[in-house]
Amino acid sequence: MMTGLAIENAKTITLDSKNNSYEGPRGLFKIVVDEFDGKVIPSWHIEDKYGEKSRNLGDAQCKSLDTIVGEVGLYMMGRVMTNVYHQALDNVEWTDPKYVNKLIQENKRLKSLVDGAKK
Amino acid sequence: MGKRNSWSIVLAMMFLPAFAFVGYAQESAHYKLPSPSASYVDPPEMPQFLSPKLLPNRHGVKRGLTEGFMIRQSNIQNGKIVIPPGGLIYFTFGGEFFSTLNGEPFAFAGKESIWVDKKEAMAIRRDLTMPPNGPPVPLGEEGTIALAHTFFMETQSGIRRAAFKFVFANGYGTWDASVFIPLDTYSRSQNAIAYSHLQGEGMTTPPPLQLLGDPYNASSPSYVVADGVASEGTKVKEAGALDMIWFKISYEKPVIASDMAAGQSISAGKYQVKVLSVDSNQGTARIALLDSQGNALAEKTLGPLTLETYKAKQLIEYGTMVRPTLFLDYENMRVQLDTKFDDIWSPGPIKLMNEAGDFLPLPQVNEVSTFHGGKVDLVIYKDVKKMELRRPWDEDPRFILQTAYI
Repeated sequence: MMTGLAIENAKTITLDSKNNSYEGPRGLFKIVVDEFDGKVIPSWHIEDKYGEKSRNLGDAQCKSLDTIVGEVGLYMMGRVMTNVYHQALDNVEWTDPKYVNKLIQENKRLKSLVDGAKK
Repeated sequence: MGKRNSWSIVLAMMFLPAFAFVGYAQESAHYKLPSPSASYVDPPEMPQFLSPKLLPNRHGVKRGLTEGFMIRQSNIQNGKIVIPPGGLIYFTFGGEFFSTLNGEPFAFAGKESIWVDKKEAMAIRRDLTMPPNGPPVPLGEEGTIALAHTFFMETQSGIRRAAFKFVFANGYGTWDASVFIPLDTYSRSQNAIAYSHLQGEGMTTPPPLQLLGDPYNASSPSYVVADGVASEGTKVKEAGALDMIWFKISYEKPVIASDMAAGQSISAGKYQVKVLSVDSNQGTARIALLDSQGNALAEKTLGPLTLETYKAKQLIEYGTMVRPTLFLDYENMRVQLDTKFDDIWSPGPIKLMNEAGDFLPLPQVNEVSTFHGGKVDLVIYKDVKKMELRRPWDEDPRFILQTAYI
């Protein structure tokens, strides 16, 4: 059996604009809600203990903190073989999420090209 | 008044199951995946946290370690963001797939650790009535592997078909199981059912009957036995599936005690490990664990570990009679034989380490290098941590430990 380990929160986590962050196990990661008006979450992100920050994961329609972070599974021949991550990513409707970072980088590159041309 | 009471009972009976399901959904996020509108964080966005790290096992074979987490079933209630129990789930995966006794590395909540052992068992539940598309029913306590009734077909060649799926608490839908229930005791024989179906398909050779006519479905890790169909759903006589009970890890690197001859002892923490006798031909070693005064606390013959043990591919990994013979456990100490194999694609030895320390394909090796000339190689863990699944994590009780079948 392909076992792996997980830890999950035992009790309900409640966040609002005042109490706006939650630290993961051993401070490995942190969930931070930047903006919340009681109805939508326009801005929230995650941080890790290495000082890295994700992009803004919220938007004007965001009504939950549901997220899939990273790619966890059996690492073999330079690839990660996933089961639960595969199903979770398949379940996501908006785009092929595997390429979201590539799209963001490409967008940044094109934007800098356009900005350069304007100057 | 009496009439009103009886009506209220009828109403209560009608709505009771519905309330029960709503209560379940509110209670925990188990058996569910993140919503379709979930965001995704790609490993290159936070490379130090999310990209695979390489760490060697005891024999220097590198394994990839990955970490990450998910948030599921979170929502906004009364102006607050709510993540239900089990909604925030952290995953980690290292070399544990390959072996339990080779000191495979993995990262646990950002800390490097070594996989020492694991215990799996069947979770079994009897007499369930399951409505189609109802909530998954845990086969053991809450958070163990669950059975979900995913599909129901009224008739298929004179029988009813019910499809099930085993679902892990982390949301992963794993093995499928279909069962076939005759409509009544006078329905056609299972052979007739199979044959009529086959004619329609243009086949002449009957397939295994289990696919087409049996009220049970079994594979090595799971099984379902159905009893019949009632108006409220399929009656499951018994269902069982494999689940994890505990795992043992160590944050400290073990003491490698190589070339231990009979009579020799080595100190490990507050204990002494003494080798009483070694039989290289049989592949056994009798060892004793002594306290600081030299009193014997435990004694055991480890082994036999021979080429035959290695040749049965998954014996060390899954042989519940074999693996425990290779180690001695005392409180948080573990003394084990230094198993020296590499399993490249799947659990079980493919290459063995020879005396020179090189890995050779199993057929080319003619001796087990754990034993050599009346000496034995041991591995001693001084501080093994047993972590029971579905129980609070002692280091941070905000979290409970869970299976991450990945």
